[in-house]
Amino acid sequence: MHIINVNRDIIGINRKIAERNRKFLDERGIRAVNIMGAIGSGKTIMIEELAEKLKDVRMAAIAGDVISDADARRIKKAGIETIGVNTGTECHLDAHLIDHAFGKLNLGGVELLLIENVGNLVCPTDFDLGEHRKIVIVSVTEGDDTVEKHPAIFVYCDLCIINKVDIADAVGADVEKMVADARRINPRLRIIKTSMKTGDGLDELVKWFKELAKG
Amino acid sequence: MRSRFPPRLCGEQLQCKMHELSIAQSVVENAIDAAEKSGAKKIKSIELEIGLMMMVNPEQLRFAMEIVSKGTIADGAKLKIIKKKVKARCKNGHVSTIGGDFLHLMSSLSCTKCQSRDLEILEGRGIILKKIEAD
Ligand SMILES: Nc1nc2c(ncn2[C@@H]2O[C@H](COP(=O)(O)OP(=O)(O)OP(=O)(O)O)[C@@H](O)[C@H]2O)c(=O)[nH]1
Ligand SMILES: [Mg+2]
Ligand SMILES: [Zn+2]
Repeated sequence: MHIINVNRDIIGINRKIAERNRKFLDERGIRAVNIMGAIGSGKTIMIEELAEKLKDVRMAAIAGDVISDADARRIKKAGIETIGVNTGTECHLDAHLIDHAFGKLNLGGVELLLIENVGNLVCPTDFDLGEHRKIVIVSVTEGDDTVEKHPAIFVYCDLCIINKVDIADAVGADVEKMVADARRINPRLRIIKTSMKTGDGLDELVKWFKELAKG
Repeated sequence: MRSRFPPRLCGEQLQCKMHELSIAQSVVENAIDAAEKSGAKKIKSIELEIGLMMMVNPEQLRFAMEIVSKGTIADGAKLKIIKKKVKARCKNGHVSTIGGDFLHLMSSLSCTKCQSRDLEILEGRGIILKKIEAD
């Protein structure tokens, strides 16, 4: 029996590829956003809204999905250059998958790259993709304790969107509790309450993306 | 060549949230690779250092390692996990070293001097395969 010193960084490979991705984007003047959030919280519909309301920013999208291409099709239909990425057995996108997606996207003139991660509040947290901003979308239908229950993702994000406020009363969710929880976990977090259905909060949201793309 | 590694399992089959599964997969592959390179035939134990900021449940990881190492030279290897503390700088410039438990730590993360939660994380995110014992 003998001891072998290995000292290998298991997720360091992902970090290295992520850095390479970021450099690739920086060289082209593209700002990338990693959009994370619970299943069905409104990630795709937000991109559809941006397609309509952010006409003066040239966008492209990468839609991560476990097996289907449903989201990629929706985003394409909304008029954004999109590539779908199936994660298959993995429950999150990683930097390597994003690297491959770059090769399949027409990124000419693109200012903003929207990356829809797999619906999941746990796994994507540990995987940097090479993005410039991380955002998390939760909605009132997951219950108003969802922020409290998944603190890690809020620690890392720059922007938190609390969506579906139009149906908060119907599902008995206290939106202000969600805001307070998010603020407590990460005082730096920018928080925007939205309804993708009624358009509440969308001006503020669109402005955030516009400033990122043009800034 | 791939066949010496365990087959990829579907996270969904195992009720997903099984983030640990993909980590276990990488750990076992790297351990087998390191063992083979030094001519070893059997891995007895694996030592990992995991930053407390990682979303890892040690029990899940243990379970996932058992599954992915089945039928490989890492089958039955003992897993030792060393927790790496989080190092963070708060907005007032204090640098704290914060220990605790995986996952639970996250909801109470604050500066040890002034309790500020406005923190920049400096350390605590890696997973390092430190060493293995092998025959
Ligand atoms: N009432 C209401 N429904 C919404 C709102 N935003 C999204 N929805 C609905 O919620 C469902 C899920 O929206 P998606 O945009 O597909 O959510 P997603 O996060 O992309 O979902 P996955 O990719 O499957 O994780 C759809 O039926 C939307 O119409 C909202 O603000 N209010
Ligand atoms: Mg979607
Ligand atoms: Zn402090």
